Amino acid sequence: MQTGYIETTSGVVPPPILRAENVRKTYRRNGISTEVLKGVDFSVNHGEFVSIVGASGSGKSTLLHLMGTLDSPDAGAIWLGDRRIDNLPGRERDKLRNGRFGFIFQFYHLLPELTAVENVLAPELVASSVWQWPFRKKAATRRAEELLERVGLGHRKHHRPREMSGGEMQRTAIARAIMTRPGILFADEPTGNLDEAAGAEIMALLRELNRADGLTVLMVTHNMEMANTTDRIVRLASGRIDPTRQPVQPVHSLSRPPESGRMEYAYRGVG
Amino acid sequence: MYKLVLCWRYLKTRYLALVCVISVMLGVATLIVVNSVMGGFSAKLRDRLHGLLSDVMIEAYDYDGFADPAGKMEMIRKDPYLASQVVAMAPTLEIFAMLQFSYRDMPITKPIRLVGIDPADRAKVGGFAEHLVDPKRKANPTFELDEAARTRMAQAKKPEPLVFQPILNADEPPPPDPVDSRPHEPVSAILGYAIAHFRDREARDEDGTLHDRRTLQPGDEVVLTTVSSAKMAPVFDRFVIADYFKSEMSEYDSQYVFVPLDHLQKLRTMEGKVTSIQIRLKDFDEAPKVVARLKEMFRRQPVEVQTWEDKQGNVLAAIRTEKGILNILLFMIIGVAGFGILAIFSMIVGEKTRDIGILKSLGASNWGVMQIFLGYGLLLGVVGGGLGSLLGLAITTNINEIEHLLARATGQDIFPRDVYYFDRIPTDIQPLAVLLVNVGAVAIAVLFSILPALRASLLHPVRALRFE
Repeated sequence: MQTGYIETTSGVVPPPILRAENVRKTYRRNGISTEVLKGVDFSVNHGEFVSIVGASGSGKSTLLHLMGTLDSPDAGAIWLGDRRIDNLPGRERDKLRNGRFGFIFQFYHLLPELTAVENVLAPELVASSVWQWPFRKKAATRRAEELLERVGLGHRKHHRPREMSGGEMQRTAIARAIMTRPGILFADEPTGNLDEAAGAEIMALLRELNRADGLTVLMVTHNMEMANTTDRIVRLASGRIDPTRQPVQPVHSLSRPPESGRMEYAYRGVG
Repeated sequence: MYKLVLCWRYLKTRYLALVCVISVMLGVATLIVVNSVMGGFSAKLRDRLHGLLSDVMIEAYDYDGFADPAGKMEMIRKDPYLASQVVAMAPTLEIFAMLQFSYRDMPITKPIRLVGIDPADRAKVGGFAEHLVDPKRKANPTFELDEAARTRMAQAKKPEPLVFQPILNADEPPPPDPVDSRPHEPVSAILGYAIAHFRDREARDEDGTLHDRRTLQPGDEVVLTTVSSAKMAPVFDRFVIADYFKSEMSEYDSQYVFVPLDHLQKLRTMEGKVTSIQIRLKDFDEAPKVVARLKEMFRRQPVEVQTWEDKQGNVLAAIRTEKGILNILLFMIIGVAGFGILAIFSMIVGEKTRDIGILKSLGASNWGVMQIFLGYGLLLGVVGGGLGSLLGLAITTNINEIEHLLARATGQDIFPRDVYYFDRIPTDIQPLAVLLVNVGAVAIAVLFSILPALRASLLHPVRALRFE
């Protein structure tokens, strides 16, 4: 099981936590096949904040969905640590998405019938049976409220999504994504629908979670300014990693261990 | 847990769901009301059908009757099993007859069924004394005329001299033909209520209550004509009315005339003979055994043994069939509600596609998503069924008041009281039927939500998230 850091000549390199191996994906619609990913090899290291950039239709969201088990590749493999996850049975993939992965999306995707705190509680609700819930409810609600406080929405706990601004909804979505203390956060254009200021706030929040809590973040964006603030930028072009422009900006050293002592989002293995 | 939370939230926030709830509610309420009213009618009808008939009867094949009813009854009393089951027995002589009387100097003739009974015996068998109109006679059934009837009889204009049927002594041999008559005091009779009354649609109170017009008073004389036993020769006699028989079953009330058994036997020259022995049982559940035992006992005799249910078998079967078919037809109402659920659920699934994608990204399984919509259907069924039951029971309990209001508002008689001889719409709420209707409604709600639920569960998470 990979938990420690590997000593290299250039310093301490964290182990890859998530890896795509020659991944291919083709969509078929109305008899027309579109090959979106044409053999992508790519990995994300533990505690890293990686952004995938590329033009529209380059396959970046598809790659994110495949790595987050929301979709399955036609060929190739996805590895979480040393466990292959693309061919897991549905139930196992559901468990991964519930406990090990967190997702945020461009359009926030909050459940409109639930309040902010209930939305944050949603992954815990999914994980608990009717019988378990009464025992878990108190602690889970406390954590959900703490998370909302942390993302600056302590005063919005009982508001419904339609009563909140875009930035607030996205912050609620982030709180929901980290509710079950996942190892990896998948962010699909998280600032795509926000103005500059709100976008910057979201990026700052993601950066804080990554730095302070050791949360691994894989973000898809077409905003280079946002991408530039991440540890590493991976370019996708026509369904392939663009080899001519890798790595774009090794802003932060890969040898950096999490800064704070808080390791709650750190990689927990996949056992 | 999320399934429960979302089911409940969807129910509270989606007004479309309210349409489903209302359609299930109306279906359930209709079924309960119709079932209860039909149950009431059929229970009343069953009660009335049973009314005059005893639990078990030993009957002759023809109008000639069978001999020695007393001996047969003695045999029954001596049988240990039958003696333990039989509560009362009454020999009866029944024959068709013509009834003549004059109303406002107009001769009226009606076909009737003439029944010779001993009132005390017949009362013990049941279904007789309680239907007598005179309250004193209910307690002590008799053919005796009361004071008012005697006075009316004495004051009545004497009819033209009639030919009287000769009454023979028991030891005399029966005459070859009806013999010359000799005058005697008329014997009293109890008349079916509807023979002596008619509902006058013109005679209404201000509140719309109908009144019966009486054509024959106690103390009035009638002439009954029937046939003698052996020769089938016409025989007739004068009778004076003592009371009325009102069972609220128009078939009986408009046809039956009761006279003393011994007099009818003499009139028909069949002394010692009856056409049936009516038997009342301690426990009707034992009837099949009793019938079998009686059949065995009288297998060499020209008699038939059957229960009242056997005798009224066709009518009872017709009621059952009618109720069954009506229930099937009415259940189609809930079926229609089911298609409503299907349509509305499909719309809701369409509307909730993104939410389904979100739930799947949060780790909800296909089965979990399916359960949300199945649970939603179940919840709609339970809430609709519960509200429908309340509504149905409320309507059933107050059906007569509602009928009055509707009748007053529309000016139309919804429950014509001149058709039935009871004044209130009978209802019979069967808890089992209410339960079954609810179970059926919930089952249909769940059944029709399977397809949309399946569709929701099979949605691809990425496509669902991108759905617009």
